[in-house]
Amino acid sequence: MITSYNKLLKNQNKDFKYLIEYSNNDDVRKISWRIFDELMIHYDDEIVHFLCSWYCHMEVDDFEIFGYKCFYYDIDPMVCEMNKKITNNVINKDVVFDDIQINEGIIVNKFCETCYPVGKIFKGKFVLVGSDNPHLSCINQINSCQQIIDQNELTKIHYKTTIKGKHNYYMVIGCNQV
Amino acid sequence: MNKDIEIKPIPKTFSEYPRTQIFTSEKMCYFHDYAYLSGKKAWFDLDILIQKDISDEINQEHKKVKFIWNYWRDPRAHKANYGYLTCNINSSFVAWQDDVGYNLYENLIKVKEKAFFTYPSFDKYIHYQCYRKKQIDFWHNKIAYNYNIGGIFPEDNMPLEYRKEYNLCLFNTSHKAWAKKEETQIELDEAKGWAEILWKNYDNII
Repeated sequence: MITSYNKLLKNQNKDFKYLIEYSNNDDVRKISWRIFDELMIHYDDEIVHFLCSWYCHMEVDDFEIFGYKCFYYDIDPMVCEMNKKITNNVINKDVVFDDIQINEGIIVNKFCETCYPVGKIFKGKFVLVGSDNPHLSCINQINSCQQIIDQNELTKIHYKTTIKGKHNYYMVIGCNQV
Repeated sequence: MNKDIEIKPIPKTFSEYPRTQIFTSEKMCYFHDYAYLSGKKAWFDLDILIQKDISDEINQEHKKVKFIWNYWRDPRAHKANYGYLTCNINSSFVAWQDDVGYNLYENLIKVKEKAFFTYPSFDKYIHYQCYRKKQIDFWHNKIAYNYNIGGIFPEDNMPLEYRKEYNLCLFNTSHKAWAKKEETQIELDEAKGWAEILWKNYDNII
């Protein structure tokens, strides 16, 4: 069976194949697998919303195969066009600025360093990861789990940890529901 | 100075936010502050050279606000780097009419906390929030070239050259932190040769 990653590679224009390859780097894989493990431990929900999903081949091949119903939100039209080739429920919207209603399930953001804190926009159960990547596009560099908790106004914390990679990654699993 | 010229203070609507966020956000205020005036309107950055009469450009119909598209940039760059805040829009010369553009101002007011958190420059905000929603228009591809980069990618990418067929020459060095290492970053006041001569020719009393 062809993997979602290979399907993306096969479909992507040659000028942009390197983006797919980069989306499969060691750090991204490590974080995605860790999210899957911790989400299984801490939540029972079967609906997962991946905000700023980027290329979602890992989520498709890990979460969807295990029966999770996944929704993938990304502002990037090219990313969404490619993701539609491997899954349904692809939403080409800006999770920070566009009108998006999420009423059930778990909200995952693997790239807190690139955006406004999503906990200020959505209420519910979260899996949040942010890094100290110094790239200019990382407008919200994350330097601790506490920073994620404070920014996203999380009131109940199930788990938090630091993951070492090319950068330091901070993961928090928690809720901001009253 | 001509008695019809009025000097206005820089708008302070967004002064609660640091200048490093949505740099030149004051520009957005002009769509509000001058909405009551009917007719054609335009702004120009100070670091540009006007090479030709641009009255026809300003006097044309502007159903939406008109910005400069950076034709000197590889169009693949902003597609590939969409999530990295790469931006292909320039606001050095912008024109509109009547109350066109007021919606852009209103939208920024509604999302100002998130917008000032997210975008380091006005051009990036325009690219990711206004251009994405098809709320703006663009000038033709001979309106402006970039002194430090060139005219149209990839066939015309020699920096520092004079291109007589264009209306404007931009210097556009405010984005130098995001620029490629090999690009020159000469400001208008540092330019020599034809650019310096043209700039100094401006020195007359109105």
